[in-house]
Parts: sequence; structure tokens; C-alpha cells
Amino acid sequence: MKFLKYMALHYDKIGHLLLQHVRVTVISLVLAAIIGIPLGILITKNEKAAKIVLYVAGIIQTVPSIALFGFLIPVLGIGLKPAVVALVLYGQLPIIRNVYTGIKTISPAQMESARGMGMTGFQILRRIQIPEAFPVILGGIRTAAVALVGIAAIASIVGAGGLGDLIFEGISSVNSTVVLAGAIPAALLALAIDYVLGVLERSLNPMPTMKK
Amino acid sequence: MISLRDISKKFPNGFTAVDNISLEIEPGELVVLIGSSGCGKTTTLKMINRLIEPSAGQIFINGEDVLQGDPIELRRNIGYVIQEIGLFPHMTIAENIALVPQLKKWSKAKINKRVNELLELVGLDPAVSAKKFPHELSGGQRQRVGVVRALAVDPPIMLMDEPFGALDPITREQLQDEFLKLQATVKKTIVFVTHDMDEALKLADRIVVMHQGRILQCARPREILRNPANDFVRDFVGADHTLKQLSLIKVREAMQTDISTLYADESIAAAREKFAQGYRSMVVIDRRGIVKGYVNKVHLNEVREGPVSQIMRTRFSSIGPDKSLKEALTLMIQRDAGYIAVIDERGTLLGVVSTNSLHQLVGEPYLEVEGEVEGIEIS
Repeated sequence: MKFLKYMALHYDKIGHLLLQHVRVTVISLVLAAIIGIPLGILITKNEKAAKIVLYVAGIIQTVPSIALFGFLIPVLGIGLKPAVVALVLYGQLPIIRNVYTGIKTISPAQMESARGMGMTGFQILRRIQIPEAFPVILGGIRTAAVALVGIAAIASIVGAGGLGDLIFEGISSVNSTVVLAGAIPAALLALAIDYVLGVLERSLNPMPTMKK
Repeated sequence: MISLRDISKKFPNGFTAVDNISLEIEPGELVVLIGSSGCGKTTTLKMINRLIEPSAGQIFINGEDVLQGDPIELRRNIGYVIQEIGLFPHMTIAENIALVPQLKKWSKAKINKRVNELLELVGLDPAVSAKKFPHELSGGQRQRVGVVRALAVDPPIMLMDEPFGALDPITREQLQDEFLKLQATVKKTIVFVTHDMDEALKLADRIVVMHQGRILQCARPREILRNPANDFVRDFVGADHTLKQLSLIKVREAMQTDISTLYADESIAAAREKFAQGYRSMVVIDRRGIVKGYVNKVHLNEVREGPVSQIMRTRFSSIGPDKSLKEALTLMIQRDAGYIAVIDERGTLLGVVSTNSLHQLVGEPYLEVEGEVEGIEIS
């Protein structure tokens, strides 16, 4: 009850922070995809490179986000920049991994018949590998998106704004209502993004009859 | 058409898959490469479209040195069918078939027409199948699509790597039969890999038996059965090679035509006279030559007077002239008959096939048998 009253009173502030939150998440997600997808494709050509890249992306994932933000402040200062850089880094593992496995799991028979019928490497990539791995690739982006919404809340400590501001404000004033006012919209945002990408995934599935 | 000259393939790990082989393949010929796994048959096949690059030697197609040209262009002009088919699951059947025509920049209208034509060629209704996805088809249908996809741009050459290997025996036989019919109309130059001798014997114009990267024998199917080059080939052909020959010989080629017959309206007395020449059984026909039944010597005593039709047995076994001797023998065993009548579609007697004639055929070199077959002497 107290929570709803708070929401009603501060809807403009919450709305503003929500937009900030969406902005940092979306910018980071797009950049993460722009970097991660080509990287994932590239490493399918070289087993050794794949191992290294996936290992590094895995290590980044294990660094606590607060620590990572701490590392980035001396280099990038505060604001949107360190937040986006950190989020892009966190988004790499799910995206690269899914692109890589999505393409790698295409059967050798398909690859052989594609080559055998005279498709070039690029044609195979464009017409066979990417379309077929597409659901898996989008799945990776979904995973990254949901994770980034959560981590973006923490990015508030480097001054990137967003719903994290409310959460930290609530924590420092020991006011759980304010914490909830930040946390619940953040959770809903994660669910919403997941839902939208899920719909996108199904509607773009190149195998419509295999829809679940 | 295709000419392999001193081709070898040594893999980086030191394994020599193909060891200095040469092979000439004529246009329109169906050559089957056969051998146990690891014999180099698939490697040989894949060197023709350069999915595997030879370590040494030359490959010519229509006199052109394949290894000097562009492998992509080469592959677009060679149909390629593999056991696992390799249809693309995210594309419809029509899209799968249309791939190579698209790569060759055909017009949409031309592609559509070709796709429909090809689907009909293998008995798939374009209206139903074109928009389906591969997982909605049965294994046999998928492999049919695999074959016509390779035929899409009407390439003069087809390479087929155990295309029917993963199918159940019934579907496999069916597809082999369809494939033979198809080949009779499209007359492609085909290199076909299998490890199944029965399949090789059924399909091949020529069989190339390979072992440890070398060619042990390259000959027509009957020649392989008759005169295996060495013990390995003999073993590979199998202990039942005599029986296998039966499936390669048509009844028409093996039947005895110079036979004595009885007419149904002939008198039993006249029949007795004919039997006196030493026969044990005779086919009974009417005056138009239509088979009516048969009479065995022992039946002669059942009735002493009247026409042959009174004593003839009307339940007789018969077979068409274009069936194989294997089918004839199967019938004879099933019916416990010493011989069966060969008849055309109207029932006219063309000749008979007896256990005797089978024995002569597979017991001696085949060619010498022709013309030697004498009057019926059923034992």
C-alpha cells in the first residue's frame, strides 16, 4: 500500500529513471550484439581462438559488477560511458557463446552438401549458418538483455542513473518502499524485454512450422 | 568424360587414403565405387568435386584440368548427393531445390518451373510438397528431394555417396528402382559410392572394387561375379556370388525356346508318343499358343482316351520374360516346380526356365551358354 502510494506520488521521477534505465540497457545491448555476433561467427573458423575468446568472456562474467565499475572509473570517469562499457562486457559471453554453438551445431552433412553444391563460405554463412542459428543467437541476446537490466541497476553507482538510483537511495535511507520502487519496475522491465525478444524470436523463426 | 590420372591422397596425419589410382569414366556411365570402409572410395569421389584436394595426380572432366579451375564453379556443375542428404531444415523443399539455380542466377520463373518439374519427376506433388519443410517428409521422400536437388541445374555429372544407405530395405529397393528409371531418362555420368554389393550389382554399368586405396578390379557386374580378379574381390562379392548372378540375368536371356509342347485338343495317344522321346513333363497350349497347363508323364495313365485337356493340370507357374532369374528360381522353389513357363502379357508361351537351364547358366561362363540350350528335358 505504502509502495503504491509512493509510486503514485513519484511517477514522473520513476518514469524518468526507467527511461534512463532502458537507454543504458538498450545502448549496451546493441553494442554488445554488434561486437559479440561477428566475434562469435569469427571464432567458428578457429577452434583455438574460440577456446580463448569464450574463456576470456567467461572470466569477465565472474568479475563482480561493483568491482568492474570500480576498475572503470579511473579510466573512463563516471556517467554513461563506464556503465555502457561494463554492460557490453557482461553481455559478451551469452551472445558469443550462443552464436558460436548455434553455428557449430549445424550438422556436418548440411555443411558438406552446401559446399558440395558450390556455395562460397560467405553464401553458406548468409544462407545457411546464420538463418539456421538465428533462434539460438536471439536466445543469447535475450539472456544478455535480462542480465543487463539487472546489472544496469548497479551502474547507478557510477552515475549512469536509472532505477538503480532508487534502489541505492532506499538502501542508504533504510526505506524498503523506495528500494521496491526501483526494483519492481526493473524486474518488470526485464520481463518485458524478455517477452518482446521472445515474440521477435518466434515471428522471425525461419522454420515457422517448428514453432512451439 | 571423367578421367582420373595417377590420383593419390595422403592426409596430413600420414594416412594414404587413395594410392595412385587411374580411372576413365564414359559419358552416361554409372560407375560404382565399392569397398569396405577406409578403402578410399569416398575420398576418391570427393576429389572429383574437390571437396578433398588430391595430393598428386590429375583429374580431367571433358578434357579440362579440374584442379586448375575454380572449385566453386566446378561444384555447381556437378550434382552431389550424400547419405545424410543434408537438406537445410530452415528452408522449404522448394527452396532447398532452388538453391543451386539461385546461385547460378536463374530467373524466378525458370526456377519455379524447374522445381515443379523435378518434384513431379520423383512422384512428389508440387502443390503439396513444395512448401513443406524437410522434417515433414519421410526418409524416402527426403532422399528423393536430395536426388532432385542435385539434378536442379541439370548437371552432366552426379556424385553420389551411399545415397540410399540410411533407408530401410524396402524404401531402399524402391528408390534404387526409381533411380534406375530416372537414370534411363536423364543419362547422367554418375559416380556412385556404396559398400553394398547387391546395390552395386543392381545399379552399376561398371563396378570398381577398391581396397587400401587401390583399385583391385574394374569391370562390368557380371564380369566381377564370373571372374573376380583375386581372392579379396571374391570374398567381397560373397559366397553367394553364384546366386547373385541370377538377379542380373533376365528370364528372356536364359529361357529355353526350343521346346516340345502338347496341344490341349491333341489326343492322349499322340501325347504318349511325344513323351516316349524321354520327356517327363510338357507344357500344354492351345492353337493360338496360349498356355493352358501341363502334363507330367505319370498323368498319361489316368485316362486312356480323349484329348490332352482331360489329363492336363491347369495350375501352372509362369513368369514374364523381363523378370530376373532370381525371381524365376524363387517361384520354382515356392511352387516346388521343376520348371516354369515364360509367357508374355497375353499368356502366349515364349519358352520355359528349368532348374537345368539355371544350372547350366551359372555353372559355366555365361556367354558360352547362349545358343547351347537344347530341347526341354525336365528332370
